[in-house]
Amino acid sequence: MEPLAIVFMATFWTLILSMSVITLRALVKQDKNK
Amino acid sequence: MSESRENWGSKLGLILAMAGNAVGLGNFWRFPYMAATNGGGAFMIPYFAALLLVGVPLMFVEWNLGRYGGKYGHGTLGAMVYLQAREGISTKAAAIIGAICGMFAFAVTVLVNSYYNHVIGWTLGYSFFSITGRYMDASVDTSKLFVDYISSPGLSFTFWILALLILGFAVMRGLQKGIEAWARLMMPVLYILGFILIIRALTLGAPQVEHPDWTPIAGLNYLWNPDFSKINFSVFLAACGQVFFTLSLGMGIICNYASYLKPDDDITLSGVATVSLNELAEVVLAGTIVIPIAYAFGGEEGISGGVGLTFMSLPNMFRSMGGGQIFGTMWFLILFFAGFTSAIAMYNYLVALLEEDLHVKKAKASIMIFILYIIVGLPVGLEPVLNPGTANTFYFDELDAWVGSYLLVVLGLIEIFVAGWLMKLKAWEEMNRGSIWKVPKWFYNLFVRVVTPIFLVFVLISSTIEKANQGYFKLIPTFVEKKPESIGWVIAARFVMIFVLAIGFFEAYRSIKKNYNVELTSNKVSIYR
Repeated sequence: MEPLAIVFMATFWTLILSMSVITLRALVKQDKNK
Repeated sequence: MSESRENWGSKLGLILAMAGNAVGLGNFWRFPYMAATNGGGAFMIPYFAALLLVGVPLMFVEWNLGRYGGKYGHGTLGAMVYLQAREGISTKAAAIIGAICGMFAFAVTVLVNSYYNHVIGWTLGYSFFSITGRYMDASVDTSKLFVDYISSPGLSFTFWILALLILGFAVMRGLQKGIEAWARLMMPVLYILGFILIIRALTLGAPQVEHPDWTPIAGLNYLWNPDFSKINFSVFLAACGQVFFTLSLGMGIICNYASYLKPDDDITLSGVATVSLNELAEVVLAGTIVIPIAYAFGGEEGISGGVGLTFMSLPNMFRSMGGGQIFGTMWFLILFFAGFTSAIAMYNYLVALLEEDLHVKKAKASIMIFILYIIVGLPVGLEPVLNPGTANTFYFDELDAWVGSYLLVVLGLIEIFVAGWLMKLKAWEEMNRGSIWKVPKWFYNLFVRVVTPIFLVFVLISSTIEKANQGYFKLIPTFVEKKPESIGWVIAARFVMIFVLAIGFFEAYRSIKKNYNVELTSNKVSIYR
């Protein structure tokens, strides 16, 4: 893969995966605190 | 208005149901093709910009619309929009706007599901084909197999009705035991199967001996390598369209699910979670499964979007890879789960409508909607059956072109206008009620009130021009002029659309009038909860 393709893929994957994990963790925490 | 409504069992269950609602078949067969042919990595820049400009603000607006309407006992869009619109205009005008929105949501949930249920049936049928190895023999022509499948009422109707029965059964069980329980099962399995398929896709090597450069990694490079020369305004609009449709916005079904929230349940965090999980399925899973496989077996030409790639080309590729029968089954199950969890939201919208407006019990309402879907789905299934060997889907395509795409933008535009310009800052205050992540006031003022509506107007104008150029506004559209056998199907689809829209308008107006007649006659807002 060309370097720029790797940069784009890594950036968007990181963004999406981290947002998914952060929001899910926060929601599970809200469930536990209920 | 119903006094006691169901609630979600847990936040996680709600988010999985909402993610299931948003993640649909389009995520898996439309996005990879759109990205790869519109500049690859460079497409992702306007795509993410559109996600911020249109997707996230409209997602907040729909969650807020739903939760606000749910407080008043409504799960359908007509009354929800009325409640917000009455804050800024006369109650009579608000009732008309509400009825128009209710009409669009009714048309979308009736007509989109009329063909969507068939496609879910196809994915179920192909899951069965994969398990039984129906297309594993190299002598089977996979294109002909698909054409024969949709032309055969015995096969296509069986799986269609089976899919509808499972949907009806799930909705009948209620919110927690039905929709939430199925989402809790299907969504994690969808993501797990997706990651397994990613591993298989990336370890394919170079399966075509005569094309050693056709590898999954070359496919990923094709998808992600930015080609900035392809970026222009039309690509930006295409990205915006993709974001709009992938998130199930402008259909009323996000609002319906949000209506089962409690008045102080967090909606901003939930909205962001829904968008994130949808993008996880679309960008990470679909992008890393479909393009690498299609590229490894067919090079650049192997990547063509839509039904053809999914039901004709991919089976051909699965049978050529080690463990193809298992991976083919996984792929079609992913599609079935994605389609099922979206169709169930449309099904539930109509059941909620019968429950609230006609006071029909859920079980009876589920059966009534099952019968309705059989009736409206019949022409979709019958067209290829009556034209065997052609795979004609003009009726389906006509409905999809108007109700499945164009009307969604119109509805999204009205919703955001009502929130931003009629309910104004009260909508922003409502949005932040009970939220741990607050929507900043500047974000609301900039996006909900200005940027997103303007952008949607641009999308609508460009879609209108495109449709006019394609001949959609003619009595007999240009694309069927030379196909006399298809003209009747297109005209029939238009009659059905007008009929359903008319019923939707009168139903929504009647519902608003029944619940808020005092306000309509006095022209004064007096009912608050």
